[in-house]
Amino acid sequence: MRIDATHRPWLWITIAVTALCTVAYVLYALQATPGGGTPLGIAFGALALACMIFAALLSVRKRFPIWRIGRTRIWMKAHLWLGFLALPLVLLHAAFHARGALAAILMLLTIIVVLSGIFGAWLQHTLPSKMFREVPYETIYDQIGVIRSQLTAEADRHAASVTEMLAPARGPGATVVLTMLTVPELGEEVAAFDLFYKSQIGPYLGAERKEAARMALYDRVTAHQEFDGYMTLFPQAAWPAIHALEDVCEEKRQLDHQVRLHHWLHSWLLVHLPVSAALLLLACIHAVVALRF
Amino acid sequence: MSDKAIAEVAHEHSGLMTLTIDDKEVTVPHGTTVFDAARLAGITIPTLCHQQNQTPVGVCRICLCDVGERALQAACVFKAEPGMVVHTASEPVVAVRKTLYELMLSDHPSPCQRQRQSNDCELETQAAHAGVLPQEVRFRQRAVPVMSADDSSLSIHVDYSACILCDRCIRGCSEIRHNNVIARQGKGYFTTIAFDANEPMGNSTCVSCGECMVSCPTGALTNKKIVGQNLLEQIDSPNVYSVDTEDLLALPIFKGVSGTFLELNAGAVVKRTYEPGDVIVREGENGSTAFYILEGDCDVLLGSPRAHVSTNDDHTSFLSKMRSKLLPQRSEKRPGEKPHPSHIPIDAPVDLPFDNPIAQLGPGDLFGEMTCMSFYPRSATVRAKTPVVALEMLRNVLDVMQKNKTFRAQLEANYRGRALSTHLRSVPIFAGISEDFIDLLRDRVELIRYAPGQVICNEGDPADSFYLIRIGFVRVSQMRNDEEMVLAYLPRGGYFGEMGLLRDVPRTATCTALDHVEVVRIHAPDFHSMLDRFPGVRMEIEHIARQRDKENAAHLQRATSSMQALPLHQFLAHGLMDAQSLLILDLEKCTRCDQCVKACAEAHDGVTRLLRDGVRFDKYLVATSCRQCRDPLCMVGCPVGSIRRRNSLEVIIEDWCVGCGLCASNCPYGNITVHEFDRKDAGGNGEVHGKVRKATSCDLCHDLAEPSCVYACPHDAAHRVNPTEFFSKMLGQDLSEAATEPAALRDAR
Repeated sequence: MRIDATHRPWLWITIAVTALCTVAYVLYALQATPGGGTPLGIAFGALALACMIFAALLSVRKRFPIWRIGRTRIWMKAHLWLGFLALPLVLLHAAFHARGALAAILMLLTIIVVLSGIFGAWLQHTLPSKMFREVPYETIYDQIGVIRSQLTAEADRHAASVTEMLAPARGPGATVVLTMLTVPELGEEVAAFDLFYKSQIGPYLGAERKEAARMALYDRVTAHQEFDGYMTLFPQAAWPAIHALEDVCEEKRQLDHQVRLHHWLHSWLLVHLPVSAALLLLACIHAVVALRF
Repeated sequence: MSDKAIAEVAHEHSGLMTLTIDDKEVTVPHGTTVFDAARLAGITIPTLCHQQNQTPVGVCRICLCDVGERALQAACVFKAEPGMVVHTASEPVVAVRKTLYELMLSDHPSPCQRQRQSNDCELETQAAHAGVLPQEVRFRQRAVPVMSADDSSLSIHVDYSACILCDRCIRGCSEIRHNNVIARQGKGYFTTIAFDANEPMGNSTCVSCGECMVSCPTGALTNKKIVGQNLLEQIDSPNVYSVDTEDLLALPIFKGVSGTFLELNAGAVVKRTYEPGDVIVREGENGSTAFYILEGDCDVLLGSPRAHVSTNDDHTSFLSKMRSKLLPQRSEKRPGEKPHPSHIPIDAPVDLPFDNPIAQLGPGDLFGEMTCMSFYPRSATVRAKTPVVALEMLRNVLDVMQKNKTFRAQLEANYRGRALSTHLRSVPIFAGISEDFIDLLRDRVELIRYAPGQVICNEGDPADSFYLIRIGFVRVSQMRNDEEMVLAYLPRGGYFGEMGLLRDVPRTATCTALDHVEVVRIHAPDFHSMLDRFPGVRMEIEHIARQRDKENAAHLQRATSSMQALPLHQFLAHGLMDAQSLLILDLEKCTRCDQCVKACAEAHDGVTRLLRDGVRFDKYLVATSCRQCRDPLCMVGCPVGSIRRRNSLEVIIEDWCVGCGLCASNCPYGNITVHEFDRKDAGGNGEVHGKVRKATSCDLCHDLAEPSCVYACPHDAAHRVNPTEFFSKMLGQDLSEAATEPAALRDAR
């Protein structure tokens, strides 16, 4: 989601409504003591509750995506701006102070919901671009586990091709290899590479993000230095396979980064949604109680 | 004038002449070669390159004879003359022959494959008979390396080191079988035979008829029967029996087929027996064989119900009724189009009526041709109605039989008698034609076969015929800016050529056979006669021709405008230029919430038709969803013609899809998937009877104002766009149709 020029009309409407309500509040306050129980206060409260209810209906709208009751992007914009508008309306309704525990809780919840919403809107404004720039290997989030296991299998093949290619020639076929190719003796280096693969690359590829973040290969520069080192040790024939291994590690790195960004992109809802539900419930209770009694 | 002279004059006038061969007088017609004259006299002249059914070329020189000329002459090409005295086995001739054998054997890998297999390599046999050098002093290895053996063909092994360049295989392939696959390549000592442009035999256009192998005198081309195909081993069923070559040759349909070929391919034809109710083939399954019914009757039907894959329309409860008011109204009909065709084309001599897709096959009917020749999935289910005896054959046998005149005549007679009428009537423009005119056409139409890639008619050629496709697929294309633009793929039941005849103009497009195609050709006089007798048909054809004009013009204008763009490497590499409608996701707006996918699934029976993954172009992700390509490769090969594009942009998969998955394999972008759905009859009571497989692809939610994925995106990230218009600014080229509209057209508005 980008807060772009298409939001401008909503911004103006929100500013206009806020200004209008503020003017009405000021004019009323000059004549009488403002409060939630006054006619104007009740009006502000009703408006605020209506905004909250409409904002909550976005979840219902998303639940039935093909219903032809307005495009979802319009509903999203309405959710953002009407939700934001609820805060000044609540403040005006309560005359900027909370009387009683319920009112205080409601005001607090409103502030949390609106601020978490703003935070979420900011995340959704910035993180998609970040993900696009920093995760060119991005895939569908639910497939990351599958991709990770495929990367491990691919890395196994590349590593095997390096060690087999450079292993000392043995057996009947070795005679042909030794006479046709000049294969230097790289037994120790190959063993070291094998150990490097088994102790670092393999575990890194199989690790979850948090665990992988503690490993040396998680750092791109360190990983590049390691692979570069092995390329200087081995002949050119082995470079493509080593490059491929480095690419596999890079893809793993990016997938981990994608997981991290994805969590940031969506985990704020773990605060916003339950708090919103609590707010709506309590607001309805508050409205019934306030009007009834 | 002496008696002899009189006789000679008489002979000359009668076209006969007399010559002496090995002291025997023989009288032969003028123009007879020495070889044939000797054969008529009962004298066998050895030869390696000559065969009776081929044009003699005289390359091996083994048949050299003394004909009284200064030099010895090759008997197979040298024409006999009156009074000629020929010696076929004189001492000089025998000496020359021996030298030739020695030279050929010097780099012949004796014993070669054929000698080892059947002890009848003509070179080794003749050389031994002529007393050529004993085996132990022969050179076994060729002095200069030749191409390594070619084992790529399924049925024929090629050993270049055994080839003596007699050209028999070349002539067999060209003159007898008219396949024209084999030729010579190279020069001098490095000459070899080659398949197509020196392709491995298995990769070439060789149809494995075996003619080259039958013709080859040595072990250069041998049968791979030992490791080859044997239907007896492949079919896991008790009702399959081998058939002796003699039994096959006794059948009228095998008259004229080479017995040697059948012998060498004994495992490629088997006899199958079926009890009533047995399923012979099932629709949608893969196969590689064709069936010829010898006895009994079969039902051919579509078992897959023509059920429409739709959302749940159960409105019995209050809430569902309310919901139905909010749900998008789906319409089964597309405006301006008929709801369904009268017949469904299948791979058999008959088409199936749409309303009741069942027909009968009987003795003399061949089915499964397209599956056998082009490896398309089975297009229908065939079930024995009575006890059935059938021959099941592989492609190499079917190909040979299709080239056999007796078999072809029988197939054609069957088709003309039983299926042509239905086939013609299945084409809407012929629906109103009287039966007597169909009878008239029956014997006048021509059935013509085309090989894959063969051009049926070229753009610009004079229009002289109308074509109706009996089997196979035809590509219709036009040249624009020196590039071929595909306009359509026509399946069985499709037709072309009417526009040129109607308007008396040259052909407006090139039509090319994509696979093994057979067409019904109606010549211009008959076509015009039909139009004169049936004015309604003329109107129908003109209406269709106008529609095609419009579609082609729009299609080409879109294509032409895109062709003027500078091809950016990435844009082209992703195939985006071929797309007419892309689902793109703006990655800077998309929060990866998957609402688009959920909406698509909800709109299509819980099965999404898009994947939120794919190639990237700039900041856009091109989702894996049908691109409505200009060149829709997905349409090629559909056994029942259910995937098509009608008068609109979207590619539609019709209700009678049999779920074979060929379109899914053909799509280069993975945009078609095959899913299992509950098997419910359209218009029925909605009871579920097992599962049915159907192919699915994005249909642009054609009956709604906007695709559901775009409608449901909360962040304005999903869009369906024309790529050349949408990306024109980014590419730095204005590729929109408006910008490239001809000035005259703009001025006219």
